[in-house]
Amino acid sequence: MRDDEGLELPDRESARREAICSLLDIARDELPDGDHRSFVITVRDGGETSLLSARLALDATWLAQAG
Amino acid sequence: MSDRDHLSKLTRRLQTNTELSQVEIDRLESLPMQIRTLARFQDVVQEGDHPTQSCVVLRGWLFRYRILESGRRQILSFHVAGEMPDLHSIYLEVMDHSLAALTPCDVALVPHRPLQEFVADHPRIGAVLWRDTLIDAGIFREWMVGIGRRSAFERLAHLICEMYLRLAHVGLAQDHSLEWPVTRTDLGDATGMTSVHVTRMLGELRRARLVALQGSTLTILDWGRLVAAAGFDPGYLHLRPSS
Repeated sequence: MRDDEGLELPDRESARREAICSLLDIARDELPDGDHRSFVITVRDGGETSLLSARLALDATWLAQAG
Repeated sequence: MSDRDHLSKLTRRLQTNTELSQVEIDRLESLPMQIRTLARFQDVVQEGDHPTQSCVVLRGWLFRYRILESGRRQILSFHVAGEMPDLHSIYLEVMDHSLAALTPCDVALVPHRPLQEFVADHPRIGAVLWRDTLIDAGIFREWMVGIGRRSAFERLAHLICEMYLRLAHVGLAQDHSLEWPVTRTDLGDATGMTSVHVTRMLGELRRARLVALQGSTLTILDWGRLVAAAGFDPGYLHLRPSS
């Protein structure tokens, strides 16, 4: 999904924080839904330049057979 | 507009939950008060204050909030015309949170002393106001359920259902359409989400054809489906069926 409205953020660090916290929100809503998922967020500036990419991944693996 | 007309908003709101007698209405509407106009984000009272008056919202939306040391803000509730968001300061001397205007607002400030005398003279009014604060607590419980256990999508849908019913019952919304002055940042602070996630969820609500947003007007396109999507049961608002 692409956000065309955008957000006013004071600096790069705020943008990084907002992106990472948003990944947590998204993961909280979407999981658990399968054992292998990844969520990616890209931060762009007003001039459409990509500034940051953040990825959050889930890998769940059974370690023993069901008894 | 006379003072009486202003406070009729309060009696109308109380009557959405309770039956009031004409004597009680007359006395409520003749309470002394002072009108104050507030700009967006202007505080009515702040955490730590010792208020000597409580306010009745006449126009606009207010919100209660706390700011943590880290600067993060949690919005605790929204309040619309006819409500008394700081009624509890009658008996709780020190504010444990702040109350501010979300939009330009008019409020009527009613001094505590005459309100306390009124309650002493008319114990039933004490019960009516007590009931009002209990419903307020019920709304907090529902928000707690939402923040703790509902999905972001359900939480937003639930808030829209709640605000529509609260506004409709005082005649400030109809035909499933309401003024929606809440920015995405405010919504995020009220529902415990980032603004980015609020944007995603509002987009999903729109794509599901549940709501439409045009400017600051929010239209609920399918009330039944929105209620089902939110898991919304209006019982906690304790609205009287006749109102």
